[in-house]
Amino acid sequence: MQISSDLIRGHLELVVLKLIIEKDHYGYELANAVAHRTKQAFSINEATLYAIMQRLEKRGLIQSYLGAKSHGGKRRYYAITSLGQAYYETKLKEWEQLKSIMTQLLEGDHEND
Amino acid sequence: MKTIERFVKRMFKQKNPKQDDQEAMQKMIEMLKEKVEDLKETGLTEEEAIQKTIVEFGEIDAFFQPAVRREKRRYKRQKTVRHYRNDLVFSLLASLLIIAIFALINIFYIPFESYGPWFVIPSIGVLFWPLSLLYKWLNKKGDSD
Repeated sequence: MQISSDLIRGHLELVVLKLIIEKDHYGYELANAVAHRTKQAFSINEATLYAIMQRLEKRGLIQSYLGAKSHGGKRRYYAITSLGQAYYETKLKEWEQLKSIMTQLLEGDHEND
Repeated sequence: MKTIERFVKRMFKQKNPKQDDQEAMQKMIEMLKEKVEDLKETGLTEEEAIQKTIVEFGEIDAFFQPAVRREKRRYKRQKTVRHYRNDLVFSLLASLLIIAIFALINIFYIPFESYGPWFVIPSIGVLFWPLSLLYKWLNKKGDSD
């Protein structure tokens, strides 16, 4: 099943940050990682990814550097900043909260509450 | 690889002709070229890789926020059904006045006997004004119902 992009859009920043925290990535690698981890259930196109990267970089949450030459050419890698790390942790808490709220609201039988 | 550059440049020009953001554009070109390289490693030819990259790119609107254009539209006056009705009433009164003037001239200065009721002819012309506004009003009413 394809997940509508509206639903996940707000959380993509968090996903991207998480991937970058694990290891420095370059653009296409990120898109690939998303598709791979979700077993192709969700893929992120370059336009969206690019918009997110720009936003994160402008706010100083990630920074980019040119990596060593490999294969065809240099790749621009993205690394997390300390600000980004802090932002990620706040956002992660927010997500946990949202998750538990949604679970409470949508799952289980509350008719007799 | 020139294809990728042209693709990105054209896109930037289309979406955002005023703002010349070279840095953002270069980064996007870089990112897409990386993708092409990666795809080539999986066994695609360069041409196929470029094709695939462009096809999969998706909609760029997320990046450009058309904030300026939207602002302008908000300030434009929205005509409601009431405005159209007022226009119609105004045009009706005004055309009645004009017809009355013609009729008065017709009666008092240029007698019926020799020229006939000629004021009818300009009156018909003037009546096209309220007629067109009646059309607009009915249209607007149809929209809002």
